[in-house]
Amino acid sequence: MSLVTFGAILSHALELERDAARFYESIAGTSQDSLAAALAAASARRIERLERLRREGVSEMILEAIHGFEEDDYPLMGEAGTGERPWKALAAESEGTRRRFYAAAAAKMPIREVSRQFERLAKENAQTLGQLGAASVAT
Amino acid sequence: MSCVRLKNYFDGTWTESASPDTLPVTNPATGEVIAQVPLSTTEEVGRAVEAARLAFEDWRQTPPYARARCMFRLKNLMEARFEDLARTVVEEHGKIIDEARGEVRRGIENVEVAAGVPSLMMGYNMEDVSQGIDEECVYQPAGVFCCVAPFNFPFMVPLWFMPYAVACGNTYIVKPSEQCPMSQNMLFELLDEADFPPGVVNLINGDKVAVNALLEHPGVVGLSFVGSTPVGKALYAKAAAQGKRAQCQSGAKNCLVVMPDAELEPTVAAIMTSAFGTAGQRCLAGALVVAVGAVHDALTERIVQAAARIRVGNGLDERVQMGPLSSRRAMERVLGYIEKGEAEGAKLLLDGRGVKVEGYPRGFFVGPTIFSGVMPEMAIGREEIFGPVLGIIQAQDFDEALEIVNASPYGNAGSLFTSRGKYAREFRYWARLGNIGINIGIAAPIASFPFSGMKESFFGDLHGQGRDAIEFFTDRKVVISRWF
Repeated sequence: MSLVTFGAILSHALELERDAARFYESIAGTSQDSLAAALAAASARRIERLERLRREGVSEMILEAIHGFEEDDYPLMGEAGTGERPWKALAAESEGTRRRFYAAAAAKMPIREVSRQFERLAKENAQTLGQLGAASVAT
Repeated sequence: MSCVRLKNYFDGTWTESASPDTLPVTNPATGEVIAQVPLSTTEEVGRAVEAARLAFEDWRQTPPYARARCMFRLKNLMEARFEDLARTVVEEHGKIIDEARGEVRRGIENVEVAAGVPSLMMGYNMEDVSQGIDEECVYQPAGVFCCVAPFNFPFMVPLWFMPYAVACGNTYIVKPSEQCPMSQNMLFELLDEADFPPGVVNLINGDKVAVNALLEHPGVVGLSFVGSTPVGKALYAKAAAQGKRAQCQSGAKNCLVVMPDAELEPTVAAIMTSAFGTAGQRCLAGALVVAVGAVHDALTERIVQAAARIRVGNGLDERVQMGPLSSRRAMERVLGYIEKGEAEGAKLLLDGRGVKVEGYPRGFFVGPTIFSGVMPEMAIGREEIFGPVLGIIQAQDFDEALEIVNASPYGNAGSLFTSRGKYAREFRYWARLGNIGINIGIAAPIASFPFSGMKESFFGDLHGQGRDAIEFFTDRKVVISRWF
């Protein structure tokens, strides 16, 4: 499905972040892994930022359609179990998906502040990939 | 089906109207009745005015900083309920969720600007206007004001006025659109939570009986109105006859002039949001494209292609780009204009009739509709349709396009698309329009600027928002003093 509006892009971003937050919380809860706990907390902060961006970034004067942006290119982690693959590999996949999503979305947004926030989110994803030691997995 | 019956809010209390008469509030995407709005009586309006009048003396003496703090509290509450407010606007009006978010954001921005009242309301003075004599001008609140709100921006429009009026020390009554009263109802829940003193802000639901009662009540100082030209003109005359001040924002037929040197891709994108955003139910909507010279054919082709791609549906679906008309009556009116356009000989390039939205068989949907060969004297060329119907007119040159723009009885808004500064300058100088866009499809002034308008689009002198609102909601008192 094409993401043609500001709201659709922000909503998908929120879905991706909530998906990641659930995943990290689950890992932190079962394994007591400090990195997973930190990433869960970071996801919660990112969700807050995105919600603020959705409230404040909308401009009635510029609500023009956005083209060439497909939701299917940026899937949620879904129901992939953690048992079969190490959690860091799954996490790297999610971080990579979101990094690609924000980088692509930043280029399509007509409002600079929204682009800037997306660029920042993409940069954070790249840093997390480094922490996970799996940057190459997710690109 | 049972549904909520809305209440009035005055003197700091939610009150059931005694009126047995109600109107249904209908979700235009689903056709479902979502509430009943009471048609308040003249006596109930009188009680609201009395509450506002009694609250005025204390409120006007409340320091501007304290009044501003009420605005900060309100802003924070609005931010916290932002998504609920936006969804409510979609459910009562039908516009898409992004447009509703934009509307709520605009409303909040007005509260933010009004919170600057300690600076905005300052007067001025001069010493020694004559030997030993000083003169000062002070701004004082004037009393009880009211707003009669439209259905197309049911949440935002009262906020063009109320925050400024109240921040300046006046007390206020909102009469929401009887078609879309839900978001104002929610706003008043927040005003109640923000702890404004009883009687400072009041809500009266109703129809023209309530409007007339407000205008005829001697306790009301002034009126702000947004709606159609016939009603705006009548209310302005009536207010003047009662010795009240009024600002009446009215109808429009806005032109989007496209020069041959315009950048076509962003121009077409801007035309889409201007003509079909909010299903064309904006007083700033582009209703006519005036294609100048050789750009006509290529522009027309691109406009039709882009409009045909617009996804119509329930505005709560984030993927949707255009919602339904706000009511069955609005839909029938628009369909009538499409028939009229065909009968008048305009060429129907894209027909929005009969659009089907899966899952919403009872919605009031009309798809984007485009006519070419429109002449200014046709009904679809001169009358406000207030729907997703765009007419394309061909002009030979810039001067002819400007003549077409200025020949309209309306003067609300208009835009020019060009890459030449000379044309932009000429357009902004000569166009008799209140709100002008240069390469902008929707020339919507932000909160710190007046929402302007001219000719049959505005009756009054001071507009809503910004400095104009401060002037409208205050009296200027000049004090000349000498001490012996």
